[in-house]
Amino acid sequence: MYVQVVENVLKLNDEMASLNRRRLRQAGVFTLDLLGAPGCGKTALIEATLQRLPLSLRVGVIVGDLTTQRDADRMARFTKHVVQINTGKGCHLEAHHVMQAMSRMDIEHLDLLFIENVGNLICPVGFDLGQDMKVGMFCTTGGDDKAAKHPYIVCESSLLLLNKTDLLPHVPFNLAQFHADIHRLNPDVELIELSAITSDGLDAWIGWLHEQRLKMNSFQPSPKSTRKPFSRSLQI
Amino acid sequence: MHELSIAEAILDLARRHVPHGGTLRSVHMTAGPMRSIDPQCMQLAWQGIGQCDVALRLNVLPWRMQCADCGRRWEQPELAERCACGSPQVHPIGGDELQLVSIEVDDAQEARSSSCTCRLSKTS
Repeated sequence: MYVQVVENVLKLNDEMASLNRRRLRQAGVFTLDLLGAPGCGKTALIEATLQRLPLSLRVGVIVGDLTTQRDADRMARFTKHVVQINTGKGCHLEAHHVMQAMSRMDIEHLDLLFIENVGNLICPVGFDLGQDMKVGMFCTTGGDDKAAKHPYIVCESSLLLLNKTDLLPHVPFNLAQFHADIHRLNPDVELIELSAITSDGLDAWIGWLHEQRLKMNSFQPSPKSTRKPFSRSLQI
Repeated sequence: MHELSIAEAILDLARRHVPHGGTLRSVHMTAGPMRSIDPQCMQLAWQGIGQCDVALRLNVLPWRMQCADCGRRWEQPELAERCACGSPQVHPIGGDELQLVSIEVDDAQEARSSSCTCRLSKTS
């Protein structure tokens, strides 16, 4: 017997992600899913960001790794709202991971939430977690061809970051080619070049965060939209 | 190896559409090229979750491209970096599809008369 289905394979994940998103938005938490290869500097960027944000801003971090608590320990120096997820063999976070992590956090008293995904340029991209935006991260030491070779992350990200620009004089990296590949794949995406270690470019990143949060806070849903406006206005 | 998660999601979704007493025999799915699903890995993942008796048919869709300069749209197996007009301003359209299209089910009577054999389908 033939049964026609035609349904999204990740329907269950997407439903859980919608529940996460609804709860986060009702609590007024601006949420970013940070994606990038292992070693590209995701944790270092969050550390640098936490040091720059005012103490009045309550920032949470959910960090995914196959194993160890090391990243959570690093983040815990700057915020008490940290949950480490160990996926075991899982190469990406899924919505249920984030839902479980959220149950261990005081979400209602957060303003900003970073979800640092498992280091991987491929698998995490297709899984909605309930974030407001995905931010894709590359690094100069990874090579200038990584954007061209990983079109999904380029096309799905609201912002792309190029980290470790302080190493540009020491590594072969064709910046013009990198820009051209990104523009070809996703002409609309913004790119910020920075160094989490030297802090070059961090002002642009912090400014982008500020701008996007303001946009989210002032968002007014259309009558047909199920999205909910943030419950309060918050300043970085 | 996101194929393992996707295999589990397909099985979960497919089972919801199997009538009471029926036995799942095959599933047919499509995946856009953005999803980076490797057909061999997908088959291994499918077997890995114990579905040797259920055939998995995977249809990987081609890249759909558009040229920002001449406006041409076309499909091809690999991601294009240049249009036939010579422009490098080519970008993909969509490509993130991931759907369970259909399933085949033996009803209760058919299931009783059939034997369990390990069937692997060729990927498309």
